[in-house]
Amino acid sequence: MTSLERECDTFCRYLAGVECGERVRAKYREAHELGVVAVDGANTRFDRALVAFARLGTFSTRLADAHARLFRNGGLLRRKLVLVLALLETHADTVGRVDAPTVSGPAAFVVETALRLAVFALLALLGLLVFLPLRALCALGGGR
Amino acid sequence: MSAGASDVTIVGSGASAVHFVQTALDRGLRVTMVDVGRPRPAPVRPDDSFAKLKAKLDDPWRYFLGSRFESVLFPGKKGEYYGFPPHKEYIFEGVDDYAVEAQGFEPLASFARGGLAEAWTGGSFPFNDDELEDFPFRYDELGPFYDEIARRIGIVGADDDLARFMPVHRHLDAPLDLDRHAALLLERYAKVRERMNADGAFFGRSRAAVLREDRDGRKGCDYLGRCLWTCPRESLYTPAMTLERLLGRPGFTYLDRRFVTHFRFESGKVRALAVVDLATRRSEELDVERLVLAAGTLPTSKIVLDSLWRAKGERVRLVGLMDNRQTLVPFANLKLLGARWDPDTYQYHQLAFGLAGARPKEYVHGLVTTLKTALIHPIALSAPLDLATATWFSKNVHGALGIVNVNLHDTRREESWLELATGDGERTKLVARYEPAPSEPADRKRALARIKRALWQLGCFVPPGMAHVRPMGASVHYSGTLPMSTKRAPLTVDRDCRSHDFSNLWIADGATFPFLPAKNLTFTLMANAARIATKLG
Ligand SMILES: Cc1cc2nc3c(=O)[nH]c(=O)nc-3n(C[C@H](O)[C@H](O)[C@H](O)COP(=O)(O)OP(=O)(O)OC[C@H]3O[C@@H](n4cnc5c(N)ncnc54)[C@H](O)[C@@H]3O)c2cc1C
Ligand code: SF4
Repeated sequence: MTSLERECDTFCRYLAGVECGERVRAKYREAHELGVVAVDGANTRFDRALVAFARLGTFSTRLADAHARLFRNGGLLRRKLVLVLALLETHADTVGRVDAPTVSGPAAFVVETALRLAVFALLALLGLLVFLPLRALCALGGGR
Repeated sequence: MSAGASDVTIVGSGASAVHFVQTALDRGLRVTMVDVGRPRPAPVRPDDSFAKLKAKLDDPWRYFLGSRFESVLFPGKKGEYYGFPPHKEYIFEGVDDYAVEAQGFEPLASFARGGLAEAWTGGSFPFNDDELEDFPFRYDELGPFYDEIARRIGIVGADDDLARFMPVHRHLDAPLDLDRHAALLLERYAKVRERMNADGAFFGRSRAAVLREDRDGRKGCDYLGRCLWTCPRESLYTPAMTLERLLGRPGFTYLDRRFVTHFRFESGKVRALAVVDLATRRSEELDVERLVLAAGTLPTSKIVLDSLWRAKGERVRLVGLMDNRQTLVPFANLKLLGARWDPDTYQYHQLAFGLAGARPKEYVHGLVTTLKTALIHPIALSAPLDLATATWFSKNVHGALGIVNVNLHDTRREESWLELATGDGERTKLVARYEPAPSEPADRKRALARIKRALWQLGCFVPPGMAHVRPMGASVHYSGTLPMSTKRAPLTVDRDCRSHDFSNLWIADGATFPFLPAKNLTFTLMANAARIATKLG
């Protein structure tokens, strides 16, 4: 498996809790080959560093994504993740993982939302500690 | 070259043009249609539902996301709450010969067979007498043509609380079956109706150009859930269906792949139409007896501006450009949080809000769509959360989600106009400027507050900061640049849409509207085009 394919798998596990399968990997590769992911302005040194960090595993992906959503929304990592989500929701084998309800009703929804929001806030804070220095390092390194 | 020895030459094959032609042919006139007319791709697996397509297509990603992933809504890409299907892109594909430079306005044009309404959502709402106040005729005169268009295309709806704003014309078929969310909203309305009505808010069935039963070779809606992805059964009406049927009729000639640049005139009469054959890039002239422009408000206006400029070197300004300001208001139905939804249901607006205005013609129109088969990644990425949390959130609110598209009326004003920009060569550019009415921001805020209140009464919650004010131009209800006028003034048309400048020129699209109500205008475009075809001398 290439590193791009491993990256695709990690992002699938992060978003859907499953490995993505050969056809999704192939589509992920194809989108990269067509140049629709790493477009100008979304592919800075910091963007690449975030992606490298995110690749380490699903927890790293979540941490990097929480930070990217708030401070680097149009960057490379978010583009890759959105692509994976779009691929997962447009095939019958995977759509159920990303587009079918999992809670049992309004009350459960409210409770779980509160929990998830709290986790997101914590991750965003932790992300600041990790990624602000990384960002500074990338800026010091110069270039793009 | 003569336009096939026709009595009438018409430009365009959109909603306005095809219904003009159908009436003209019924009257025994011979008609030549000149059109760019990009054809629509063949439908894919027409019997499969939306959900089945994801399982049965060899490459569903290509169908849903495009061969270059152009329908993936990446963060930062300008878009709305749903991506646009790749196979519908031909509808908005441009032509090199047509360029627009706009400020305060995001113009769209279509060069497809059937025009912009190949992508429409079928909303078909007759104007009432209050809304026709600035038109030189009353509902009595237009009413029979609404009836006729409804008979031709099939419109569903109900005689309910919204009938106070929308006349009930003939041939209004019973509405389609509601999905669970829409049914719940209507049930709830029955309980809070008096309270909402006291606030001037009314709710009921939307009106849509869709068939319940098979008719004229089209099939009745089978709830495949593919409306946004192009109905493969022709249940949802589009003008290309009428064009298809006109092609077999005697007296009708269709010249496609022709771009009209201007007309040539002499002594107040149009003599010929200047056309570029897009296959060979050769320019040619077609002699015309009577000319009807129905190329859509912007292209029609450009043809008129080009004609004046080429003949007299005159660059005039067409004032009064109108469009409806639209605001998209997403909401969640609290009862349906975490609920399952059925994708095999009709996808476009099944319900509508009507808000009484300070004056009757200032009515506010809101179309309610309960989102089911739109892709969710655009929704997930817009939430201010990491994507996994946003995906969890969107899959659990999907069944509860809806959007109200709130429309405001517009008026003709000097500050909104069209002009021509001319360069060194032959090519010209349309320049559009749009300036909202000074009262528009306050009107918009008031309408939004009222819609939020009404939604709350229906048990729905609008997440703060999520309402999206669409740019002007996005509603594609362009009108007003060559208005009907009872006074003989330059750059206007008479009550039958015959030009006051050229005795054998008619304008059959939205350019002639002197006022733009909040209601979507296409049903009125079709009815008015059929009306003027009966007046042609
Ligand atoms: C996504 C979407 C949803 C919509 N939903 C609704 C709705 O629910 N209800 C509603 O009422 N309206 C709706 N509309 C608006 C509706 O589509 C338009 O009002 C309607 O299509 C206008 O019809 P028309 O015939 O006047 O012009 P057009 O549809 O613009 O047709 C123009 C025609 O002229 C031809 N043409 C243009 N220029 C030239 C030229 N120079 N030479 C030769 N041919 C030319 C084109 O090929 C085309 O056939 C929607 C529009 C969009 C885009
Ligand atoms: S649900 Fe939509 S796509 Fe399916 S048949 Fe009805 S109108 Fe056509």
